[in-house]
Amino acid sequence: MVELLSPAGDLEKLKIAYLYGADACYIGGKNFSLRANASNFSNDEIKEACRVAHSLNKRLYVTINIVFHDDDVEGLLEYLCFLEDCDVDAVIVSDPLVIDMIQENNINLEIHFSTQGSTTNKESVKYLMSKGISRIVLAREVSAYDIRNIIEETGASIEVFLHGAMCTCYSGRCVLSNYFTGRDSNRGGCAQVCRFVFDLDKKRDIQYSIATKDLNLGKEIPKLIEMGVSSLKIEGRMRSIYYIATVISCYRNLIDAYYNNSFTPTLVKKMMTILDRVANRESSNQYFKGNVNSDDQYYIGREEVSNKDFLGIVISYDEDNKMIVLEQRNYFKIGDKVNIFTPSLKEYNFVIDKIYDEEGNLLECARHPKQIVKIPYSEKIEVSSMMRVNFL
Amino acid sequence: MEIVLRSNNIWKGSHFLLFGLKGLSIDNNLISLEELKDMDTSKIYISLDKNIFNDDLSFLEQALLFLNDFKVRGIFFYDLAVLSLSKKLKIDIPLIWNQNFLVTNYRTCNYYKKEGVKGAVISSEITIDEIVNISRNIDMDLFVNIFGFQLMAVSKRLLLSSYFDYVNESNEDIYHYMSEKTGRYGVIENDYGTKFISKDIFNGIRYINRLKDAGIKYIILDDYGIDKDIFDNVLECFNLAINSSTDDELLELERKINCLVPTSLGFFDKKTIYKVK
Repeated sequence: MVELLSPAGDLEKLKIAYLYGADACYIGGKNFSLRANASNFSNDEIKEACRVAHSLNKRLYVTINIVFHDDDVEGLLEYLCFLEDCDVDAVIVSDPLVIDMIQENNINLEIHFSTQGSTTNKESVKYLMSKGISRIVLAREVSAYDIRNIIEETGASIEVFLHGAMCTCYSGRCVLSNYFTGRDSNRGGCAQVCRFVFDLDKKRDIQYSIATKDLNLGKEIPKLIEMGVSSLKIEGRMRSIYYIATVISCYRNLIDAYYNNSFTPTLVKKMMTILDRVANRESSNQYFKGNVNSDDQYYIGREEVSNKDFLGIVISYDEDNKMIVLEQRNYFKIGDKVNIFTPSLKEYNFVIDKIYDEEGNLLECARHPKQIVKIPYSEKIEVSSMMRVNFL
Repeated sequence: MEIVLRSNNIWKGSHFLLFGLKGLSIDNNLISLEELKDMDTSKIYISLDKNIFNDDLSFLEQALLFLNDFKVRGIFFYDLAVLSLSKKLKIDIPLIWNQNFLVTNYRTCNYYKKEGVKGAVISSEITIDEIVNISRNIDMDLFVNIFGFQLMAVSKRLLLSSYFDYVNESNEDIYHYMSEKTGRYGVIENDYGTKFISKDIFNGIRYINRLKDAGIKYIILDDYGIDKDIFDNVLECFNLAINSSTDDELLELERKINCLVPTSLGFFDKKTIYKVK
């Protein structure tokens, strides 16, 4: 069965990802990881993440995907030994020095080769396999045709990006951030210069943009599974718990539907609507279809809006009074149509009839972030379920 | 110390030349296999720096065998397919690891040395101290980009064509400039995608002695986007620089070049950061 691989920027997101159906998560430690400005995991948190993962029979991968400068290497060997002791399931690396260090020191860690290496062909895949790499994350520039061919010709365990933001340039082959801002993109400091707008030749009214739409391969799940992809990866270690829960639950639904012979156009349409709504950008299937064109790019007039759909997370259910206990995340009021989706993929749609605060006072609305409120509902709702605007 | 020229204008002289191979390189100065037949290949390095896709593999194999027969001086490579196929085909031409922005430490250089690679082109985005440190810890030929506009990024996307398509404007030029508050950067589109070029001409002539002392054997000068007359003068300065100039003389040569064309020290004296919190 294909693996659904989720990002996790911290322990809370990790638990949410597993709860909502991720088979595996990838995380970064405080050092050596490309999201240098995410909260990331301390060593103690990595231990805890491993414990959580393995108690749920899930897998945990740790990214060591920076391109090292000599000064960055200090502490790497100890860190690798620590990860071995933690029993992480694999490390995701891009710089071959990490491969060398693991193998020379007989450290028992499975190695996955990061998309930063821009692996785009079967010959490179064969080379990496010969070096003891057990899984290769293909570049996002590889088409469906080539993915299938690479798997057929090499038999490699291949990981493919399924959903999320795209780099404009080949991963690892871009230092725009270094030149524009002094922040090193290959060591986790990327300032996302490809999201800036420019003047082209200083003579055009319409601004020049090189920004891309996001990737969304939801409709392609059957093809991806049938071509033998081992792992489907979601991008976004810096995304919110709501984003993680929504995206993972949608893809869990789609993958399970494929295996249950219920991958219907209706289901796909519904999941696409949810996925489009949670993203702050439009999406396309990008290089999966072959080549990209202007339809896969963003120009002027793009809307990158923050999403206010996430209304709250269920922290418990008051069985005596039949009330959902919710931690508020965005404003909602009596009369609003809401949807609750749960880790076990159930959904509840209803209209907010009453809202109480913790002391039992009746409220007109829930207006304070993280405020604990209670909403009457007759059925027991799972902890960690999410309430959102009912836009379906 | 030897000079390697990345140029389409200078075909003769005592220097080594670096050309991209048509069909397998994103370089600006391209050469075909056919053109190579008539040249003194012992002085020519060939760059195979395109990101290789499955469709490219059969031409790559053919090209490697040709370059082997014609005994070019070395092959600069980006994609691991070049390394892998060279081993399989028992290519006897020195391979030079040229993964642009990934050549930033000596341990990875040593990894590739164990793989049979003979040299490496140091990334242009590290400091002179880091370059010296790498050189002192490895035993392979190092190439340092020393003069010219620098490559900043490579995309498979046709980012000029798609823009002109979007604005419904015809476009014949492959070279444009994109500007924002930090300056004006080059954008070049070819069949394989789009390249982004630095706003400044990098010039590391003042550090020639440090590089020589550290054992750097090759420096690369790139004339792309620079007037031929100016570049001829620059080349003359570098010829003087590599032949026993004092540090003061190097600074004087730098001043001379800057009178011809403004240049910058790039990242030689500037560390990048990556944690901003």
